[in-house]
Amino acid sequence: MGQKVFVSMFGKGERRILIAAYRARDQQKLLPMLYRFEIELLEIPRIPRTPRKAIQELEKQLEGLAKERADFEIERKKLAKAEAREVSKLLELLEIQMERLGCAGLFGFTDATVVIEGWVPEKADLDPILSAATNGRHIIRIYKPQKVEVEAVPIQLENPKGVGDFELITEMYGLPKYDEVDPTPFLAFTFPLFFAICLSDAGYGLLLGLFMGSGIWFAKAFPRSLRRMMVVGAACTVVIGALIGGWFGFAPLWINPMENPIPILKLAVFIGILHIIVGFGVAAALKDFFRRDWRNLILNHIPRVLVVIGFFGLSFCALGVSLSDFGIDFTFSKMNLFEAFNPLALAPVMVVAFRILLYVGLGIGITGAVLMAKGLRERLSGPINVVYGITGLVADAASYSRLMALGIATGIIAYAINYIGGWLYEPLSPPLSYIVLVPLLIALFAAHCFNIFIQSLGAFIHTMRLHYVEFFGKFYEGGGEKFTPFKAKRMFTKVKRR
Amino acid sequence: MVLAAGLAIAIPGIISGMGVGIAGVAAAAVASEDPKKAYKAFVFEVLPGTQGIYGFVAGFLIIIGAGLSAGAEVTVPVGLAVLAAAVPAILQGFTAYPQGLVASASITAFAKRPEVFAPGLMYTVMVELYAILGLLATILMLTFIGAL
Repeated sequence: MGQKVFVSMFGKGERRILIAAYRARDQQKLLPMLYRFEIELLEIPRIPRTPRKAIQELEKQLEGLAKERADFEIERKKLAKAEAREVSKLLELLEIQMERLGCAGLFGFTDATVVIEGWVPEKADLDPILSAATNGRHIIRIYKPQKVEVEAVPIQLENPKGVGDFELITEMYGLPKYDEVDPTPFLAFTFPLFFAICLSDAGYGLLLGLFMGSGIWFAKAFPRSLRRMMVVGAACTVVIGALIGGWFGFAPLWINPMENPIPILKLAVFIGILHIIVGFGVAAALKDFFRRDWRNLILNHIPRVLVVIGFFGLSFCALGVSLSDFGIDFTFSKMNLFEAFNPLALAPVMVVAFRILLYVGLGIGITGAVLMAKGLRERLSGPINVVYGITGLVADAASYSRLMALGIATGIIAYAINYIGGWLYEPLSPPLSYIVLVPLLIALFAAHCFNIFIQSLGAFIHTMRLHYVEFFGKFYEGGGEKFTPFKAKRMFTKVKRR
Repeated sequence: MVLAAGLAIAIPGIISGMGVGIAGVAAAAVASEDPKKAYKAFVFEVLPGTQGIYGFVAGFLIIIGAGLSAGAEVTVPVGLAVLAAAVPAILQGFTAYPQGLVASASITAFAKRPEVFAPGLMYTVMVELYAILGLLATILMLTFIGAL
């Protein structure tokens, strides 16, 4: 087109203004090209005035509009305040109605009858409700789930009140299947205990318990069951903390882990081994009992308990572990590592007993693995896994040592806070020291609060891990679906009974 | 001995900072998309920070255990032994960096599907065991060489 188009550009940044002057008859050819470069056409309003005046006028109009908008906003807020409850109520009623109607599509119909099928908790008593609704003209049939249906049964956990709060932990991992053991009762006992050993400071437990129990707005950010769980954990912490951690880093009753951490390490590992034994011996055994799976119980889980007891017993003998720290006059008879595990070497009665447990357990376990295996490959790998499982036991027991490490970490940081506080305060003489005392105490309190926050978060997460990995790994399958009954979710409205 | 305490506090601290930093970037990204998830993402973010705390714990143990605060004289063999004992606590700090990576991945996963909060937490905590074992080894060694 040669010199028939004149272009100039203004402005900076992503969007610029481009003015192109061309002959009117070239428009048809030029427009597609402009579009290709993503050029937007600017529509200039026809205002019969000079640009300067037009801009002034437009700005005035804009101001007026902004004011109008603010007025509307105020009115909107007023309306919202006055009518919000009413609107929410109506909306909720409509939503409930809609869900009801939508649900009707799931029922079976004939001209005169309706068939409704669904899951019901075992304890629910449907008859009176149905009789009231239908004047007694109904037939109901309730049956226990068949074996093929077990996978599909939705789960509702049933626990007494204090235990029920710990369902949160189970739910986070995944609900049990219908024919499994609900691990919540075990959790309700060990979770607060482990939490307490990890936090291990009575003062911290007290503050945490007060905070979670107080119900001030800040604490309400946590779910209710979590708060109640933490109160239980905090109560345990007060007891255990007074023994092994003290109050805000001062004066433990029984043992100061900073001077002698070994007894607490022993305690942590003993608790861990007990936990593993409970996992195999009680929880897994109960599951087999529910499933009438006697083969698995006798050939798999019981031998494992024997192996755990025998193996750790022999290990303690090899280490010569003594229980005198706990006030019990008992020492595992000291033996050379290889001699302790060698079934032919001479040994004291205790060692022989542990050896019998270990090797009988291994023997049954290996036989069981061969008997229960399907196919040649499993027949070979099964027994190897039984023996190899022992290394897993060592890792599990070592994993519980975190109870002690976390406890010491809490204690040392509390001690460090106090130490720094004392170091700041001591050199001061009376007139100054009185002035500094209050801010210093506030600073100490804040520092301790920070420690409580970090340490209880750590204690909670690590306790959770110990349960999920070390404990649940022994018996728990999970994967059940939660039972969510069909019901109206009412927040703004209530049903009045006549 | 001062070197041992210093290293035990400084190195895990630095690497914890890096780990928390990685997780923090992911957490902030999630928070900008969905502020309601900000506080839950915060839980992931503090996890890589614990290695720094363990380092501090080990360092402080060395300080009070050796009576550095009281200005006691320390013999060279004891000092070297303590330095050797501090090695696990110093090196455990390096687990903070991969933990930061896991935490940041878990935050992203959690942002897309809130139900993976607990598994993500587990993945992140898995890394922590080795840091704890490092601290534990140092504490035990300090106990056995009589420096506690």
